[in-house]
Amino acid sequence: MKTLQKQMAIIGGGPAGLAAFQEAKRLGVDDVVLLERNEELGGILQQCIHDGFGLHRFQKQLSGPQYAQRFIDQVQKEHQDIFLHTMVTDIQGKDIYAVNREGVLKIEAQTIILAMGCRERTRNQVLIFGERPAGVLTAGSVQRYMNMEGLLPGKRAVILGSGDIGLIMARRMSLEGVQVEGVYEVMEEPGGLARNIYQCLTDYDIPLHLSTTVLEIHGKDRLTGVTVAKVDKNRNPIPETKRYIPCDLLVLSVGLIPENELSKKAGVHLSPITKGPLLDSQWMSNVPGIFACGNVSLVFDLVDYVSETGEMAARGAKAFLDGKLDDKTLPICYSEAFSMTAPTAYRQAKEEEGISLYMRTKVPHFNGSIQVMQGDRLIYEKKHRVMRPAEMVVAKLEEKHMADLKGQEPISVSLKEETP
Amino acid sequence: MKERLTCIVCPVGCDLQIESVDEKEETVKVSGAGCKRGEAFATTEIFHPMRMVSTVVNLAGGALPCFPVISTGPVPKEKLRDCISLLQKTRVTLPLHEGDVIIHNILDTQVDIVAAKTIEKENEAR
Repeated sequence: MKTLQKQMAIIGGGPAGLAAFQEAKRLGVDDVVLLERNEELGGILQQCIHDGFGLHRFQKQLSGPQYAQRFIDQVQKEHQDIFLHTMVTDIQGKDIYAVNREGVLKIEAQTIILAMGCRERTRNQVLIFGERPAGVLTAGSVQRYMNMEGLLPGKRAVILGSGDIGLIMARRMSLEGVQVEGVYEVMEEPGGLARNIYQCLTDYDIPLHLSTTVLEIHGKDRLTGVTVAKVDKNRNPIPETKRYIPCDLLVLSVGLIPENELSKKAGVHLSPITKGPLLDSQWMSNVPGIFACGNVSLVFDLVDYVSETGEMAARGAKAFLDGKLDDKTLPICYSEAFSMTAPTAYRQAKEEEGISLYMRTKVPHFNGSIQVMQGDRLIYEKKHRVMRPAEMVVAKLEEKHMADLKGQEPISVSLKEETP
Repeated sequence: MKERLTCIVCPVGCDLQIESVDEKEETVKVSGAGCKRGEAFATTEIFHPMRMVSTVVNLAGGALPCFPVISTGPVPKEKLRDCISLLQKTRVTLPLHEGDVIIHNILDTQVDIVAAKTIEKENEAR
């Protein structure tokens, strides 16, 4: 077995891993390796051929492959440190085991950055009953078939879930000649961004049915139709609203879950809410020297944030290598107004410039403010015109805010409603 | 005439209400826009709606049969489907570099269709 010793190993060459790798190199960490399962870098971006990526980072609306290419062009000169077609199978302590064409590889790493991304929720996880015919696919699988493999997965589609990937695929299927019967969403609010409802559904006269779900799947070998029904306030189906829709494709766009099989093997503690590792402000987990970033840590709405966390994890890992991380942490407590939140602890690093806190609100808020307090001292406050559950809110604490953090009192994050 | 629009310029997706439309000057007044781009979007959206083209073309000799392309700017919405149909029939070969022009001035829209990624060699995904 080939064994390598590395200061830093990054698992995953998608937007998070690429940003971490680039930042590590920029910081002068030469002894770093990037492990990617696929034949090419870029991760899921390579199948996201629609535009809308990179508005924050590049002030441009790029397509997924274009966004990835900007990083790939930068890291290309370091190709000797990038292992493609290399799949990590296990992490023991900080030893990484991977397989590729040459056999099994062991990397004894001083720091590990987990950047494996996320997976789509499947039919079983949303409890749809009935037969097991072909033609029931996740939105990401449909995207892979259509945008990479050049295959049309059906002729008449029903979409369950109004997440952004489902909306994007509704438009894509319409343009490629698949009839999209409608989008069905169990919640009262759409899951995806307002602009995607407009440019992917309204533009193509595709109806969006809120508070409605798919109850049954019909067909023996191939899907022949689905039964949908409206749901009441408690999300229970209303029997008299049951309706049969003939279709040969059911597209599931019902959410993403961080992919943490490897993290668990490494002994990383996961958050029951984000399903990602519990992380401190350096993006380090409970295992000293193991960091996480991007959608493996929590599911982001914008790739710009994914890249940002990759860079922060690389800076955290560099600080760890240099012995600049504080031993102690302060808890960061988020109020009930928020759902997905990270990080959940503050760990000081010498010479740090600032930290970023990411959160989603549970319900829409207009003209509310994000407040960060330590004890009863206000550290940071920022007003947001709109905060919606589909969109992540970021609190960027800069040097001037950090200077106000003193003592051992916990940090709390809350939402202040507009006072009339 | 639509009375409400969703701005698609950025992920915020402002809910725009059309307050008044000047057909002669082709100008629109809106409320609900979080920034200046909202009003410009509404004006374009009402008089000359535009959309980006992002799709795949057929790739000969690659690891995968599809190659992603994108327009250098938005095209008139009514020409979007024709652009897609033309690109469905378009075939490209390697090497291709991001930004390489695949179709110049597609359907006389004044925008080019360009490669969205770089693939150097045949039978290599990257």
